[in-house]
Amino acid sequence: MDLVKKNALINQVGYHNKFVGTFLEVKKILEGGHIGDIYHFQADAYGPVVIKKSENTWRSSPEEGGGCLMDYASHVIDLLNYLISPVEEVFSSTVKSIFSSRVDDAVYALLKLRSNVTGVLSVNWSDDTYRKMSTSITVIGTKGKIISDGSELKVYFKDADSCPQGYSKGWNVKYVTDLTDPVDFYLRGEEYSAQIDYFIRAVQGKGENRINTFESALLTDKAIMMIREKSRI
Amino acid sequence: MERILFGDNQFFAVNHISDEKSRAQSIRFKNDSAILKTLDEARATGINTFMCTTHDRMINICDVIRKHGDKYADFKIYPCMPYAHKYANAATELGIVGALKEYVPGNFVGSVLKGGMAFLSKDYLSIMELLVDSEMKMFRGIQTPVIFLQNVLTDMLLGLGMNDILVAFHAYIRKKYHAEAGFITMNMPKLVSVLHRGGIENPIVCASINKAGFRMSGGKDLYEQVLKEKKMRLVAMQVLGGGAIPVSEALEYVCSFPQIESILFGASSKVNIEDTVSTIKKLDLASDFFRIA
Repeated sequence: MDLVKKNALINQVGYHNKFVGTFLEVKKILEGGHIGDIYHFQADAYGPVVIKKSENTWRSSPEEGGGCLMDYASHVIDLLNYLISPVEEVFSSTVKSIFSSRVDDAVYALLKLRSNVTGVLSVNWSDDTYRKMSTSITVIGTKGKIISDGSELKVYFKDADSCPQGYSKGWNVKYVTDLTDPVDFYLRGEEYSAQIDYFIRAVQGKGENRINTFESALLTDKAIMMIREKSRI
Repeated sequence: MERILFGDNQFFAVNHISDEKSRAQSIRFKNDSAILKTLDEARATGINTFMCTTHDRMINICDVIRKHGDKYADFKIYPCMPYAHKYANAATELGIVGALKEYVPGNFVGSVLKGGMAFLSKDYLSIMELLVDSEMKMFRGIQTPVIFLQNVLTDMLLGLGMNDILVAFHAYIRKKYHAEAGFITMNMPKLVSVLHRGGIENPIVCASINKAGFRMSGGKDLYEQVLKEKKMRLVAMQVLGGGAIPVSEALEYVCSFPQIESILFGASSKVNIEDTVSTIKKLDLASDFFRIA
């Protein structure tokens, strides 16, 4: 990390959620303080990665795939770190295998963030009621509530005075289609193109290198380590 | 191609704007009978083409269509291949080579792999042909005048510059199935140039066309320009821009381009199907009238 800083090198880790329109909007609403003092969050991700017992695949090898905590939950933790505040303490956690024998398939944890907000992380990659990975976050504050996934953002404001522009008192629903900037080339999601464009622009010296740095990814790695350690107790 | 094509996203819980709606659809279309009922409701409005993914559930639907040959005599299916999740799940479970072995018939993969990567790279066109055949099996005996390559593959090949596979797909569909190849894409301007350069003069392309500019990579203006200037047979999809635009306004935009040959849409309820079809018909009549006048 010191070397990267000393040499002023461009660096990026691929946490694509930070380029998803709905989550960017959540960030804006939270930064504006529009839902008041945040007191709880619920961060989830579910999907059908390992849905039956099967040995000898790369997913089941800790050296290659790494398991649900490393491979799947990491994206949710990183998003949480970005949207609210980095994970500081893990009160309790369960890291369990469902179908895999050498890696974990689900992670449940009670967390405290640097901003003193507490909440629940719930991730399971053995849930085949989902067609593909679905990541969502709920944030509750004294003046409102946000429920967002990669495609739909639902926000509730208690009062008219605290709403940002374009929102009103009560429930508001916005879709990623309204919140996404077009990209030059599309493959399986605007966020992937936006992410690589952001990196290339930084390399060319045309853009900033602030999102998804090694430094922010290290905070995610530390949270992963704390969750794993707590589950062993 | 018919003016209105019926899509399948609603049947397989594909919803671009809401996970909740996607779950509701998955519950609603749990049984094949629910899919067939909705298809019949679409047919009752005069739609006779169903554009569908080569999803495993289509095997049963195709069986019913074959069994009731009289009822579905004029019915056409435009298969869209591959159903990417099937291969992605197989690759997750078995690895890339394992997945190829699972889906490519015979001992082909084994012998190719023994020959090493050089052999493999020379023979990827044969692998493509075998995979197309395996995807087409479920449609035997059903009219499939246009066979599409899904955007996930079209755009991946386009991005990698593997243009020869796109051209070879087109040639193989003609030779083996006496049908036209179609290409679904989120990068229409770029694809059309590549297909023209590959000698496909009037390609069938299915792309997002909507007033919101949603999934129109390179921008709406560029799409409109290419649509007016370049030769292609275009199927407009995602005309509602993922649900962001009011239906009548959305359809009015799409119907304003005489270059668009067909409009693809999917809906679950009878009322929505009927409304969409009658709105398109009204708009088409109006523009015909102005053209003649």
